[in-house]
Amino acid sequence: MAKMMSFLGQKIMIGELVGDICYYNTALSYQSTPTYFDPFKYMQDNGGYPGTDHEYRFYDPSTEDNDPVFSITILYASDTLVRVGYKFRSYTGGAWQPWPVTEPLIPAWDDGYLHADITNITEEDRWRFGLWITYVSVASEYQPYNVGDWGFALFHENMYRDFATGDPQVDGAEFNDSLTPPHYIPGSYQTIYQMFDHLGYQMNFPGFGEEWMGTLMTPIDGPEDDDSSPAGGGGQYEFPSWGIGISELPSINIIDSGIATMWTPSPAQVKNLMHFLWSDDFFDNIIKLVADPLENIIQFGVVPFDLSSWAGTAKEVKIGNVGSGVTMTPLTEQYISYDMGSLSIREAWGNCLDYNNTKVSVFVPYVGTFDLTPDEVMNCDRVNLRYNIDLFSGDFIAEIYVKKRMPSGRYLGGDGDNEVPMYHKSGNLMTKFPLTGANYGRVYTSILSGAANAIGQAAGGNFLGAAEAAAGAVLNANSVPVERSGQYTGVSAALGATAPYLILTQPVQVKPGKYGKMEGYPSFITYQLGTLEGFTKVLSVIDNKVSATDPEKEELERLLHEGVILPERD
Amino acid sequence: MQIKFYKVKDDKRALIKTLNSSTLQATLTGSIKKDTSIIDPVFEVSYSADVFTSNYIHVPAFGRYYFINNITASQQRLYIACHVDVLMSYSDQIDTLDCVIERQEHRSRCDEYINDRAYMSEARFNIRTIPFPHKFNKASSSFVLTTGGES
Repeated sequence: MAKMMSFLGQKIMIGELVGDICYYNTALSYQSTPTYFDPFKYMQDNGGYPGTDHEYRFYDPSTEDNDPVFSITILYASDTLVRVGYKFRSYTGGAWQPWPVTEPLIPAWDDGYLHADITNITEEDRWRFGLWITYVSVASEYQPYNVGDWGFALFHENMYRDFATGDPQVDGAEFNDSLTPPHYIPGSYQTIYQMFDHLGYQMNFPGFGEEWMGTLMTPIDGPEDDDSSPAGGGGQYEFPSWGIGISELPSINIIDSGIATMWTPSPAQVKNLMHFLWSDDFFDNIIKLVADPLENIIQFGVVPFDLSSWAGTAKEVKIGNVGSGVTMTPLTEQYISYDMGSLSIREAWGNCLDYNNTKVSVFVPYVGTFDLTPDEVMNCDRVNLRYNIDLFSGDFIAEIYVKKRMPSGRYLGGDGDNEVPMYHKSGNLMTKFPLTGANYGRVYTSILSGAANAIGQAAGGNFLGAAEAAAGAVLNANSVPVERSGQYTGVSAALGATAPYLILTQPVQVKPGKYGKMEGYPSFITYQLGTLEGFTKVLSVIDNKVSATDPEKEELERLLHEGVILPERD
Repeated sequence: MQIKFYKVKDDKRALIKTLNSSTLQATLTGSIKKDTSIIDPVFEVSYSADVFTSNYIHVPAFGRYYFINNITASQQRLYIACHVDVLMSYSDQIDTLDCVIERQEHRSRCDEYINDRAYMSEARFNIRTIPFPHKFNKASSSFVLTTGGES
């Protein structure tokens, strides 16, 4: 069973260890009672190096295929261990090969990680090998050697597998990329490490097998297992903000494409066109490209504002390439911006009541009423409402831009003349008219379905201009929520108000005269008392250095907490 | 020891009491009653009518100022029961203390945007509306007609 552990502050996933573990050095073997182990003395007494060997078998638990090992990385940390050595033996020809009689190999040193290529074994045998880890020398200045812990983390890397991404088992095997030679692929799927305590006893880990009889000592755990340690406090105390920019209109539109022409006709011009459509001339002369000549009329509706600012030069309307003889003014733009202007709001009380107990709502035509955050709009430079409208469909995005200096001193959206769109609501403001009975039936059905889904969404594009349902709830002293608007669907949106406005619900502050002398105002600032005048209530004395008796000091602090009256200073 | 008797009108919470010639009632010689404490002493003085108009004393020998809690008389001797005024007695040192201030009289020393439950408000609210400068004008409504192809 894999287990997440920490070593040197890095999370390491312990893979599964399969097989038996053999102790080569009985000095570190099964001990029911831990005894002190002096590695330096052992070296002196035995002329050799104590260590342990372990048999490692690596396999892929998902496929149960043997996983060949091409290299190992030994990670160690110790304040007593100076150099680490290892011996390697292979399992070939159906048997374990003997340990080399040579001195322990000392792999290349690289920032606390030791690399070793496993060579001279066939590929089919690479999945199982014995590893004997020892120490070569111990720093004499660290006597006695029971100080500190030393341990090994063993990574096995498989150059044929890239577990760099997407493999959850890789996530635990993170280590410094700088120590990875090109042919190693870091973070292979199994990482096993052995931990030794300062007495030289190996630590017991679940899953290592029942023959494991090492004594569990204090493991080297990561910060999350240790006592709490100092953290934080390194904030930059900066609150930069950057401009978002005004929402741009699309640069190309249906007018540019030539697919359609948009007009802003007068009522009389509309009547004349309808007269032409149903005249004999129309049916005699129309090139019958479509079954229903009225299909040349893509859509027809009304918007609640004057379009003369976007009107071009009047010209004849052609229906199905047939001149109608009716002159209308074409629109030059499909997408327009309609600015409702800006306003600013000032605090009423200049204190927390302007924010905690104040509610700001906004009524946006064709959307409804919704809440704004007082923090964004109170004492702002300006609040601006702007519609970006598609005159083809009648759909719009209503955006509320805010320019305000924040308590940090920085402007929302950065310094300069930047506004930030803080609220976005969509809807449809065009009242559309069907031209035939069939057309009416089609749009009426879609209106019903649109109305059912209109809550919180814009249902636009059909006969009846629809708008988003919104509710501006106001909590009064009795905490009764109030709905200022219901569901804006159907023709109600067109029949409703068309002037946007803010609604401020502000508390009525009650404050007696000489309140400062009686109660004071909230401070939470550090001052030297000699710089203050008047009623002062102390939260805490930073360092009570008054040369008074203890009872007097206690009484002094009590009086300061209750509030004292400091004299006027010259 | 010398004991100065004053008649002060300052709030007990005031750091500095008004001690001057107009508040001074008497300067008497007295002694401390046996087994008295320096914090709640009892002083003994000769009878003086000025003592009865006093509510505050200064005992230079103790380096302290005291509130008079009680005056008892017995055989031409007056016994003044007092409690130390730690504020006045250590006012110079108190002025040097650095403190985190919870509340202060002067707004320039405060942050009124701190959430403060001490602020009271009515159950009623002021509600007002602020219109944007511009609006949709249905009286200027416009038809929008879209036809296929170019005209």
